[in-house]
Amino acid sequence: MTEKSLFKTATIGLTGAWLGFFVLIPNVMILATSFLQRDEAAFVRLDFTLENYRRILDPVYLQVFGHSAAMALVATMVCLALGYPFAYALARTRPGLRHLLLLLVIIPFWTNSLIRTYAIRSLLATQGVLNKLLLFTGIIDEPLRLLYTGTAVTIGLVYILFPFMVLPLFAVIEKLDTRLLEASADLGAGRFQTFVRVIIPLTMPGIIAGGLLVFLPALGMFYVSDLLGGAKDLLIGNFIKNQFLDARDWPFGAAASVTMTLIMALMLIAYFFSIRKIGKKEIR
Amino acid sequence: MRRVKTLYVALIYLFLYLPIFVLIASSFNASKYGTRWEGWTLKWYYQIIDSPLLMHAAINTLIIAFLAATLAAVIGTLGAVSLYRWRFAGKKAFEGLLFVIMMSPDIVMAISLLALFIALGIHLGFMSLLLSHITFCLPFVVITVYSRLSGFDSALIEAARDLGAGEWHVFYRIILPLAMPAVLAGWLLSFTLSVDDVIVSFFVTGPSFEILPLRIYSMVRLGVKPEVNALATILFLIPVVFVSFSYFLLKEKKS
Amino acid sequence: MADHRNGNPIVSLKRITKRFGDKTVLAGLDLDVRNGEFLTLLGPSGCGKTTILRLLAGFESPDEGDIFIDGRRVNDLAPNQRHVNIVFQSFALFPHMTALNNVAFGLKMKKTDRAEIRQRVDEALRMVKLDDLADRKPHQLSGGQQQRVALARAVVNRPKVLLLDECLNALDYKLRKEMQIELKQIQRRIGITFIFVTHSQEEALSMSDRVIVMRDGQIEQAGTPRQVYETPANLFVARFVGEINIFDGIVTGRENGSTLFADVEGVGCTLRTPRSFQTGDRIKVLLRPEDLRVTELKNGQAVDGTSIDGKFMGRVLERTYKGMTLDSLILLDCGKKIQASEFFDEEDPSFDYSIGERVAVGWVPSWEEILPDDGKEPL
Repeated sequence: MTEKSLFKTATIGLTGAWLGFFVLIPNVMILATSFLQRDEAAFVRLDFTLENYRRILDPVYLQVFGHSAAMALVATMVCLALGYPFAYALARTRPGLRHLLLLLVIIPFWTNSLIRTYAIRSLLATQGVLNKLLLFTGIIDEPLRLLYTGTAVTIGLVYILFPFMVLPLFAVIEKLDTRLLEASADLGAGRFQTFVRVIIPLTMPGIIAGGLLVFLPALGMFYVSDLLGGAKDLLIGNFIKNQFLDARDWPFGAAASVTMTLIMALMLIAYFFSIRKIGKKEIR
Repeated sequence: MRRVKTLYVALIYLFLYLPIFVLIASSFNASKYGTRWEGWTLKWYYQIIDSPLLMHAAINTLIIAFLAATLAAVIGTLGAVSLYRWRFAGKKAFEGLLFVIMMSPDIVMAISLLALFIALGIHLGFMSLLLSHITFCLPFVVITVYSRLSGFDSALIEAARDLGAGEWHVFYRIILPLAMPAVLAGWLLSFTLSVDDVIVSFFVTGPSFEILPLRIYSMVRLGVKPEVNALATILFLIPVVFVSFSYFLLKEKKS
Repeated sequence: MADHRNGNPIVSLKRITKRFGDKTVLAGLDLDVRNGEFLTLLGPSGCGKTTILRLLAGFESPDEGDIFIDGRRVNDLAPNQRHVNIVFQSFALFPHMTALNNVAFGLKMKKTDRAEIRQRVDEALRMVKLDDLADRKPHQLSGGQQQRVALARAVVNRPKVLLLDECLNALDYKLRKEMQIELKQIQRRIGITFIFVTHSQEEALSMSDRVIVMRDGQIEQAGTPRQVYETPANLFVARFVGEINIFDGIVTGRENGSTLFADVEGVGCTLRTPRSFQTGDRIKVLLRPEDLRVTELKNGQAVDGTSIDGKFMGRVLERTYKGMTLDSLILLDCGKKIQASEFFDEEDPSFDYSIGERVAVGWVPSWEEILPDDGKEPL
């Protein structure tokens, strides 16, 4: 069937060229840049070096990355802790209500995340509603300094990324066969036993997917820490942005970006392996 | 136990909606700093209308979203058709690159595109922004359309070929009409993604072409701006009104 | 342009080999199709019959060998450049077009002028008796009506060969019977060569001018329905086409060429065959259920008074009244179970045999078919 078709050639050519030009080449450029040296005038100088990667291992920067990862990790954990019971409750309501409730989780999604970050900022401000509420109810005597702290960044990340945790959890919990839970109870397992030994393993793919969907974007959301955090509450996103736009040290920024991508890729590979493993376990 | 559950779910929704409601309330507050209620006002809304910068940015956002969604829908549909219809050299790489776009963190895509535009000497503005938005919307259209195509009876395509249709006619007369719902869904998804993007836009556009999220970003970084509350209220309500409207329209149609 | 009136084939496959991965589906297959005939490719699933159809339509290309349609080598022609059309098993009607537009599609692709399209489409729809449902979409049509649209859509292009891929499968029994007759009538009327693929021997026998029985990418037998049914070339064909009883035997003697004496399952029989056998050869004796004659036994004698020499003794296990025929399952004394099918005759007292009763089983002389026993047990 070696028919020469202009349409076929054009179609594959256009889409293939687009992907090559706007995905392959730019990524290769960043990878290459990370091995080059900084140049004041032309961003990079064509001299091979591993210096950029060595600098990433510098304790000063490692601390920045560590702090960033910690904030993203805490945000992920909070999302999971809040989201799991929530998704479970949602999945166990009657179908009509269930979809309305789910829609209510998604609606804030439709507003630009920057605006939602701004909304959180208004809420957390020293003169903001939250402090007023806490003062009014007598829980605190003096307004808390919430804004411009690592806590605020974490709250912001949780607020923005919460639906990304809830949706995959909801998907796996909704599919959970209630007969399995009954079987577990029937076999003498208590509520806690059932939860730990049956529900958690069966919903593990959702937990891991939700975790990745929160953790990975959280590392890059520089505007959240810009608007909510203090000078030290940097995310990797801020760091890369600073290297590219402010410090103009592209090779170093590129090296940080490549490192981050590699770590993410490793986590994704681990994820795919783990779901395959879980799938195999279920069959056994 | 039931009560605890209901209370918990209610608290989560409070967490999700309180910031938005506070924002909406402040947008009608006459006080500039929003610390005290000083009476109703619509002046912040008038200020938006009077602010050429904001209006410009809003229009730019819509232009980019519309063009990016449309072009991504076209290119993405062609991409999905390529993957569905033909075996060709580099197909694996093709799929791999789509996967890369989807999995890349925004910041990584942002700097890589920035590097490309700088290297090519493309002026950061309308064009670079449009090209970038098309690129990150692309895989979502491909996936939406491809999953619809794979639901087809493959004999439909063979039937068309058998009846004398060349590749173009198979696409135009058979695939496109049948995939249309998925193409529209992909367009809508792309539009949303484009409007929602902050990180990529932040890197690949310049002062010559400002879009709303960036305008808001530079405003709120400098302190409280009550007109941002008004703008946020509008931006929050547009999709809500739009979706509830279509929701009721669908319900009406059903009954 | 080849002249098929002189007997040149309209379709010719020369030493076709087709592999999918490391599985060889067709191995050096030769096949000629005469112009205007109704040819059926019959065989179990996976025998390569559908692959032949797809090679002819142009959806697959052969790894070796040549395909000729009307004298022209078409190996490298795309499906849209061949003068063949196909009716798919799933019908594959375009769901977004009316019946009319489905039928008109092929002509539009050939840029036929509008008036002619109109006229030919009307004609085709009238032929399949759907002229008043022309504006319906496929989902508004029944299975049988969809089948007719699919047929009209292919025929309207006046192909040199029409390919039909198990296209009656989706219909229920009664409709399938009706369509068998209708397909045959349409084929006679328009005179186009039909190549029909099926795994149903009943469809093959009732419609075809010629049947090709296939197995594992090879042709086992090619012949008229009657040849295939009555004189199967081998045990596979015998078993695949219709019900059959197979007896083992050894040749004990011969007489003037076509008459054999044999020991069949312990019974001495006289057999007739055009094939030549030597004394001592192992043979298979094939008898269709309707070749057999069953007689009730009383005190070791047939009730109708006929001789029981050269007959098999047995016991009735099961009896099924089929309206026209009475079908019995009989366990012979040698341990073999056989099927017999006799025309029902109320007047005949010997038809009274019931379950458990002892019977003698013979057959109409010269209706037996003898094949050499090659030691292989097919199926």
